[in-house]
Amino acid sequence: MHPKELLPDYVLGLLPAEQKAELEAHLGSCDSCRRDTYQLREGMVAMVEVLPETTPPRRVRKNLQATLKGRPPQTRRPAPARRGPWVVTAGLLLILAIAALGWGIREQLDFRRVAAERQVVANWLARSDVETLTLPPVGGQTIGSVLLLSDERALFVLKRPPPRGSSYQAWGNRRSERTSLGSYQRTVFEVRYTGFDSLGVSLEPKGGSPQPTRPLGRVPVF
Amino acid sequence: MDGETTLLVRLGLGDEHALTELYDRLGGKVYALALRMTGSREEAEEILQDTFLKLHRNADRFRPALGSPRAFIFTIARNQALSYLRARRSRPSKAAWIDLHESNDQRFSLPAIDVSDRILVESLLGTLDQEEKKLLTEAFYGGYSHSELSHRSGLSLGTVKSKLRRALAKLRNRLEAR
Repeated sequence: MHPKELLPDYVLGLLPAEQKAELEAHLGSCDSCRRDTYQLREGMVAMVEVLPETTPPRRVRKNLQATLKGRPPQTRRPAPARRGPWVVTAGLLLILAIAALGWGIREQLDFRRVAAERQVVANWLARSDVETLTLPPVGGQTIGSVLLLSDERALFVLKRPPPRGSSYQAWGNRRSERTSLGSYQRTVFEVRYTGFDSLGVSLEPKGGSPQPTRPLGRVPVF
Repeated sequence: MDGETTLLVRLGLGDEHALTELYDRLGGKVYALALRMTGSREEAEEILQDTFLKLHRNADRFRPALGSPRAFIFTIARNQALSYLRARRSRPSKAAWIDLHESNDQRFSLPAIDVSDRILVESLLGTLDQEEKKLLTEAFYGGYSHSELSHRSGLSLGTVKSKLRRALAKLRNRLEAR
């Protein structure tokens, strides 16, 4: 008797301790349930793999190594600056206040931009006729996707904003002809794909180029 | 034996360089999972460090027949994050604030998940219906138990269990078909 119905709960950590122990004893002697457990866990791995990889602060790695070597970990916040003459202190505070204000505004603008982009994508994804195409990875890294609607509109959704001083440029391709569909300094932008065989995107100097100089990828749209 | 399995075996034999290599390969993913689950950079940093310390202690428990090295490491990370979530839920004022002021969707999207990845998530979970998707997301990233999911969704306990199993089975089939 294979307790297959318990395996998903086991993988999600939802089994009570007693049932978990019984199941683990069974897994020790059952190839079939072990195979299923492996596959279910790979499903869970996929739910992690699809998350955006985020670079953790360097101090975590340093702290990990320090802890392993028995050294005290680095504090999360940097130590306060040494106290100097009051003029210097007041000046630093003023600079910090201005920087904090600027940072706050930038953060808020970024937040609003990302929220607006998410809303656009959510609206597209809610359509029943949406088709999702993934742009081919560059250097093993996913660069983004293109959403297509039946009314011949396409939405590029790229993973990262273009580097400073450059922009993304969208291209409509028909046989060997390429038509510029605009250059963009954001990650989400809409184009029309009427009459093209494929859509592409390239990285160009700010303002765009007559022909793609650094193509990033293309997807078929016919 | 693949590279990550070799690293885990080396770590199990006491090679600390293997831990650093695993951190460099998977630290960003563990951090992303912790961020997604807790919505807090401070907690995510602690979870990341705790995960690799625990991995250092328990590497010899890795059983390749039951899951890949990533499955082993992500399971440790998820369990660490669940401890934080449970501790947070046991603080009534904070929990009430979360329930009152944030919809589930907002809570689960609090960390900086970008729109491109959201599409990948949607694609992976595309075979699930809305209810299955919500249950699986809440169970996996939110760590809710069957009874909590039943309470939150208004579905019976039996329905929650069967829908969750079906959702995972679909996910597994989708991965097998790749």
